[in-house]
Amino acid sequence: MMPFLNKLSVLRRFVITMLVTLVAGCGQSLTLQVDSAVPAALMQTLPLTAAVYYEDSLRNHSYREDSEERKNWAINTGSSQIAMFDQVLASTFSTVVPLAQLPTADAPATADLIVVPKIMEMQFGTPQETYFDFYEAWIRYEIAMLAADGTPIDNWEIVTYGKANQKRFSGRTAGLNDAIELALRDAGAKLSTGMYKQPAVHRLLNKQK
Amino acid sequence: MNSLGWARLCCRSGRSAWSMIACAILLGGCRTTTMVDEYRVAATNIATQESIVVLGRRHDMDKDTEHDFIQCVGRSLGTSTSQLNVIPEADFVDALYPWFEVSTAPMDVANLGSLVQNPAVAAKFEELHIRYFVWIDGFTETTDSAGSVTCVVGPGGGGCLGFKTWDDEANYEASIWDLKDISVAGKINTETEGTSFVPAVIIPIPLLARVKATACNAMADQLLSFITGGS
Repeated sequence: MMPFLNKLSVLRRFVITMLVTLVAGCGQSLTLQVDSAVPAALMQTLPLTAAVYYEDSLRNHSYREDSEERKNWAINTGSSQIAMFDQVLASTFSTVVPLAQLPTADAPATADLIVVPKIMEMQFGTPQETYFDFYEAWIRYEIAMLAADGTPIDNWEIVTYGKANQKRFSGRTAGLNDAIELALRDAGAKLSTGMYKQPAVHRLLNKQK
Repeated sequence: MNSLGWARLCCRSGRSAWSMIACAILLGGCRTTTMVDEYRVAATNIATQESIVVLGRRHDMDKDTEHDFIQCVGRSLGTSTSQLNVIPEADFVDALYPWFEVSTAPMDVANLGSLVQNPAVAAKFEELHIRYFVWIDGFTETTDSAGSVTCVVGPGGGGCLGFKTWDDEANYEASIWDLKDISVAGKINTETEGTSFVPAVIIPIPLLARVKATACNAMADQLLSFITGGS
């Protein structure tokens, strides 16, 4: 009798372990580290020296949500954001210098323009929520432009979007990762093709003529 | 009525899983049908050193043209007897970044004409020897499904029982742009549909209609004939 009871106990433990694993697997918790890169932009560089300052909030950007529908979501994009801005700004301006801190009137930067990118908002859509067959990501940026002494001269808002088809045998993490990568590519495209249209940049280019 | 029609009628009129399984087996599994339309505007030809690029349209608020479909068409063209130089979509889009992204890609030939005015872009086109752009718009979707397969696992073993069927439709339109003349050379449309079955008596036996693959082959064959076919 005892061996049978032992077997039953082992079976019960096995079933409970399987159920716990299944529930955990189907849970809504999400941790995603986005590691993407955008190619160099095929542009005629603007004959300006730009200095770029990344705030810690951008360097370590992490989207966090803990709601009923999105339990413990953590989407880290900081390193990919920096890689995208570094790559695209280097293709847009003839010279780009990184800044460790914002310049002041007493300690101005040696540059024509200071660029300070910030993420204002991030939104996501999943097929489970929208009933579409794709994952979506939106990122709203504010690109602050400052004079060499740190005086604000312009603000440029960019809204970027990425959409990735839902794939068979591929989960939510991969779908969101693809959508975010496309949103980052879109950010790079809008940044590189729109920079010369910004009034502050226009003024600097006209001053050089 | 063609075999697809019989398959549908048979499967939809079946009262039990067994009658549907019998139908599927009698009909010899799945079938696909394809319709191809071609509209030519101008004569075409391609020199041995010239290249083409096959690109997917992804700007609609609908399902995107699948990357694997674009890769399949490009691969089929590249490995055909004519051995066209086909630049893979991902390589081309990266090389021309940011000009062929969803938000920046030219939507018509007039926009391509404007893009060519950019010296950096024109130099890259020259370097890659681009002659034709093939823009493909469309996707494959499941339009209908019926039946179900139930699987049970017990201490003495397991097995499945049931019958599932679904219809897939693939609609794609290719627009061929000639970079030399900055003009539309023509359009090709493919419509493919097919029905897949999974009868299950202990073991499920999938009889899948390869709708997307059939659409890819049909599109690639027609494109090859269009580009190398001349007038």
